[in-house]
Amino acid sequence: MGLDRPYDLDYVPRGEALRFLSPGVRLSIADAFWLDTVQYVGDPRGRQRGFEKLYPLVDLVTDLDPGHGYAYQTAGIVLSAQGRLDEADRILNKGMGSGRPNWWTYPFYVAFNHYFYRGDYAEAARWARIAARTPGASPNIAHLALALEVKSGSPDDAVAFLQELRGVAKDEKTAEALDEQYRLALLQRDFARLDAAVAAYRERTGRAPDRLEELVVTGILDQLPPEPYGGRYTIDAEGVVHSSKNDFRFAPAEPGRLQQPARPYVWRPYSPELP
Amino acid sequence: MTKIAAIAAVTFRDALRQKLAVNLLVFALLVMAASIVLSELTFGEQYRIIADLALSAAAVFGTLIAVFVGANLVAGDVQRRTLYPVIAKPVSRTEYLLGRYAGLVTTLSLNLAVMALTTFAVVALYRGNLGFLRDTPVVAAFVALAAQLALVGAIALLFSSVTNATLAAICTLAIAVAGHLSREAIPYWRTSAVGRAFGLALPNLAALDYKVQVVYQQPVAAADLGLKLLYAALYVAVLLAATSAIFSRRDLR
Repeated sequence: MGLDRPYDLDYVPRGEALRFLSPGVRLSIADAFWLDTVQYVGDPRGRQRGFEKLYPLVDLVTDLDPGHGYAYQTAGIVLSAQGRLDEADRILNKGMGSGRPNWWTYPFYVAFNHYFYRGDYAEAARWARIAARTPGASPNIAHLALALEVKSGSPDDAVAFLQELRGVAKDEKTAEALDEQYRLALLQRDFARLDAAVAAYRERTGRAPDRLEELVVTGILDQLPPEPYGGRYTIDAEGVVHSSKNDFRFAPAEPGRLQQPARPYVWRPYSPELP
Repeated sequence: MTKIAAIAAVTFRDALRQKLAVNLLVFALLVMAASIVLSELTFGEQYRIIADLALSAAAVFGTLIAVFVGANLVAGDVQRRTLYPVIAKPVSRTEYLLGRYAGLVTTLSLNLAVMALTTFAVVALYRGNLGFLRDTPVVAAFVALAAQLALVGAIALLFSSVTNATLAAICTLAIAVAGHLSREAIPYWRTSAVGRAFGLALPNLAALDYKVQVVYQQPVAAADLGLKLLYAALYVAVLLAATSAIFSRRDLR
């Protein structure tokens, strides 16, 4: 592999085979592949390369060392941040199996995937309840499970969800992925609030505002929210609100129907300035 | 008893002079020291990398020392013809074997003690204190590893007393690897009584491995450790009895 190319592996062996080929040193082999996983996840050029081998790598690590709680969580978070939701759910579910760590964050993150990326609130609430019942779960999870149960799933809930997850992140890479999602949640919350404000303006004046500042001048909003990616919010001729840095929007919620993002979500490199 | 002690002392001195054993020990200590550098490559849970690599290095290199020193004990004496002056003296072949084995176990214990102290130093350097000696079963893991190496040494002595050093080392290594896999293989031999009996006859070396408990900081019950040490002691006793029976009948002319 040339140094100019992102870190990658040619081949990931099968866990069943390596279990028999590593007698007495299975944990060390698992750790060696875990270090590979860390390099694979941590390469800043990972987006060019893709993350196809992340699931097989962590599947292998957790076959060799079923108790490696951190591997399930890191893979679950990074895979979902890359839009590989089915793989994220699969590895998190594996961590909940018999004889495995079963951290409360696993079902919590599956709940988040259903809620935030798929818009399936009923399934999200079911997983949030499982998380709330798992030993060691933060007491706030029960409240969030209840909120998901009774609400239609507003972006404010996503912000609360991510603040909760961010609070228990143990390392820089996990925190980085969560910070990225936190910014996205803030963006969705701001879009929802600005859309509502534009609708109120339209109702009052019969037309959409030319500039978002008119929402403040007319007293509909106290102030415009800061754009979480460091850009600014704008409004087009049709009255649709945009972000100058990240214009990604989830499709409107349709409870009871599985829902995919309107277009593929693109992960952006971490920048430490949060609003 | 003094005859056995005298042979053990000679074995111990010989083993300390063997370059291969010393090289293996030095390499093990280097891997242990390197574990703290390797742990920097991960994020979170650096302790697990340090503890796992240090214990694995102790197990792998300790086993290799047991295999290569043990396989050379009797076979080397036969090959160099240094056995004949010894058995010409009023020393029974059983006393000779027990002396050789006691010297081997002393050598392995000393090597393991050095590796254990290095492991403690590396973990203490990472953690900044010695609390891990209380919070993790690392001492129990090294005690169980000592029993594991004593068992491997007894296997090496058995093969060393019936064949040459190279073949003895190969056979002992094969049994040591199989001993780590035997209990996993038994379920595949459910339908075969011979297969099950073979699996059960192999030493259960995996049972004497507490790496997972050290890495995940899970307690080890004293009764569990005691039972496994008793298993190892009985297995060694059976192996030594078999070695003595075979070696006593061996025609050394």
